[in-house]
Amino acid sequence: MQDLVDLHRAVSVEFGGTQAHPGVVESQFGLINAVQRPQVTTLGREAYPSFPDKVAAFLFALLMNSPFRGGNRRVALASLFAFCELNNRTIDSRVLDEKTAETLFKRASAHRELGIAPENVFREIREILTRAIVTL
Amino acid sequence: MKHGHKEKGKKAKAKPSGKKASKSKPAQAAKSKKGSVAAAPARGGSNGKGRGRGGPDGPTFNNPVVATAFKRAIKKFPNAFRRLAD
Repeated sequence: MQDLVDLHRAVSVEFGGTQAHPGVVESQFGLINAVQRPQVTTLGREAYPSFPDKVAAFLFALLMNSPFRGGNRRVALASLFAFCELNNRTIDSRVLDEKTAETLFKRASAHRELGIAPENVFREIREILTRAIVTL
Repeated sequence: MKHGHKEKGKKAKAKPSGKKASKSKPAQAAKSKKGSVAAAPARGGSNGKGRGRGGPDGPTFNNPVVATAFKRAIKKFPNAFRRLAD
């Protein structure tokens, strides 16, 4: 939780913008919900068993809940790296390059306006991350 | 009576422009310096939890691994961060 708030503050300070509110959490519930999403179990089984599944679930929840006041997509991108780094993994930038990441995050956060079903957004994130996340 | 008080006030204000004023300036400067010195540790003290602040050294983190990850992210995807504005 605190790491995410730190990331939001860092991203807002570093890149600014008119919507930058460093470290301001608009929805505490949304933030807790996103952080706990990878640990969800269904009938005693892990809902997201593999590592890419867990990362995708976390990013999807973060993008859907938008717990921060501005900079949610940038925090999601930074937390993707942090999540991998904390688990001795990294992102292969040949698979997930800048343009792909930008498009993916924009599509995910605006899926309602674009008419994309949320399960398709989640599947898209999971498919890319399955190929992009590599062990250090 | 009120006029009298006002005049006295004006006189009191006018006095510091003389030689006494030049003496009082260094004292005020010293006071302000003391204040700033005292304020600096107070800021550090309030930062007991080690929360990140956007200072001159850049943002700070509780977890050094997260800091490394953030640096790596902005090094790899600088343009994506700029374009992904809400």
